Amino acid sequence: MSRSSKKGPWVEERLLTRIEAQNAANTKTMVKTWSRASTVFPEMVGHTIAVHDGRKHVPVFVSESMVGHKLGEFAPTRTYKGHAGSGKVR
Amino acid sequence: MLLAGRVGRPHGLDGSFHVTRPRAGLLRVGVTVRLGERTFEIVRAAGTDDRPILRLDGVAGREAVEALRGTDLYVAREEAPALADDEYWAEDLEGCVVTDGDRELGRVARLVALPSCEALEMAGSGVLIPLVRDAVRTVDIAAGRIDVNTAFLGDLAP
Repeated sequence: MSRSSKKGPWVEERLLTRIEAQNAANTKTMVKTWSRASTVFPEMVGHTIAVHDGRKHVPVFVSESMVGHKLGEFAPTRTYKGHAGSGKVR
Repeated sequence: MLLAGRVGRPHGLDGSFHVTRPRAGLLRVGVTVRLGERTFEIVRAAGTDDRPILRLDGVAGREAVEALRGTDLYVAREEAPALADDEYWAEDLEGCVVTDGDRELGRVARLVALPSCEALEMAGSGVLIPLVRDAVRTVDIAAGRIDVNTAFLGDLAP
């Protein structure tokens, strides 16, 4: 059963507080979190969040299309042995 | 040369085959690919970017494909499509020295495609540096140097 819309989306309070503090100070550093169940909020767009995959922290660069999803969706827990073809600095 | 994929299982009877670990954009009709010491021209490209199907000039029948199965497909850089600004081939990034100013941090082992961005995996430590402007200041392929901002990376810096 899905979460009641009355409650609103869940996010770890400490994570959102740190993001909001960076937005207020207009600074950016990679924020480390173990909270894979936290929802991506609009305040997080443009930030890079290091999400734990069970073994290490995986960088997640938050874009607008990711709002509403959970952070864990972008930090795969299975090792992928393939290579990226090319990389673009975002 | 750029690695474009690997010859997979045959598809049909005319010498077509699936490509495993494909690199989208490189495998087009008319492009010359190198398999080992031999070169072939792509005469048919079908399927999707994730699961392409190719047929090569001079490779006819399932037996011919089975003989090539598992061989890597290479495409010359001159035949590869142009990259956008701030976009780099994985082969060029691998082996680059990662620095923060004058301080050397290590070497890039490989480029990892994550769901949200690409990341540089450091040799030895396995630390992932996201390929985002906040973390990567400059990429100098000619000099083989990548300047990163360790202040941004915090305690996840290599």
